Amino acid sequence: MSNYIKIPLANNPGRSFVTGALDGTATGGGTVAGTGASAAQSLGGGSGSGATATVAKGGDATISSATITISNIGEGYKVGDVVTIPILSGGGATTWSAEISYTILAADLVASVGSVTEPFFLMPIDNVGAVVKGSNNTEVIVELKQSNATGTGADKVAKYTITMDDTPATDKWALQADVAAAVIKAASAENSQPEVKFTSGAECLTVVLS
Amino acid sequence: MIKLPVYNSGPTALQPRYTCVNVEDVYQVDKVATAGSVYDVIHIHYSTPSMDAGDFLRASIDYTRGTASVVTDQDIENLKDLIASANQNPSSTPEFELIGARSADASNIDEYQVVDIQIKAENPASA
Repeated sequence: MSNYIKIPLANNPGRSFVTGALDGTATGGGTVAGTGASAAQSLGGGSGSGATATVAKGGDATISSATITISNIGEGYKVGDVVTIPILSGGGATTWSAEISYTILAADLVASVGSVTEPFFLMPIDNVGAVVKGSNNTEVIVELKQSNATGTGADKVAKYTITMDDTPATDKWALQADVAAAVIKAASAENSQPEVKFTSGAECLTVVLS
Repeated sequence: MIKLPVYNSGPTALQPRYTCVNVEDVYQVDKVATAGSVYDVIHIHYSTPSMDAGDFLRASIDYTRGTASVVTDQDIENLKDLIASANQNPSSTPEFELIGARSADASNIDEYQVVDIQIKAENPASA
């Protein structure tokens, strides 16, 4: 029999884009002309802010063949949000004659595994070695008292890496204490499944065993 | 399992929150100096083998905050006693606190709180 903790997984939380080309196909844009990537343009609409993207004409004059590449990743965007890029008529590179519209796909944003049908990550704690701060304020590590086959030094030890969204901001030591509190509770009460309560409403994006 | 106060985790340094370390199968506890005679790290050695022949797991509990030597021989003895006690009461999670924390005040209490923990695999004979 194992003891577990439940780590709440955020369901489509507002988050940042990943840099690089958008995964889906944009619509609108009118006639696309010119050559080379445009200057970075602000994305309007959606639930986030701060993102910018360049547009580079593709094989024809439609936006569907163009490549839209994220420059600034912004924050607060969700899968399904429709973002827009206003008309650009000058600048010496790619231009377009109508507003561009794009529906955000999961692959466009920082990874997040939570959903309505997967609201929690169930982590067994019987072989937990220690709860450790991450290398930054969006990460907490649960190191296992269990060897991993490859690597050297610390890499020889198996671990869960819990990745949090960067908004709302929290602190790596606070995250460490949040997870440890649930592990301590589970270790002290067999057959309980305490839920991790994250400080400041921090949102968990992924939990990866490595 | 034992719990240890974590640096910068609570509303104030005098109200720390905790992390936890598994102390099952621990066979040795040492204090370690990071520089000269500044003892600010504790190693707890497990009899849990690694995948590589000769290697065993070891947790490093790091209190390094400055130049203060915060881990004493008595701390190591106290921790050994606590580990024995925790293993005799499997559902307990007793707290380990360095002796120096008892006389510290708000200005330096965080020197006695855990900054980092890391579990590694190493060969005890060559460590």
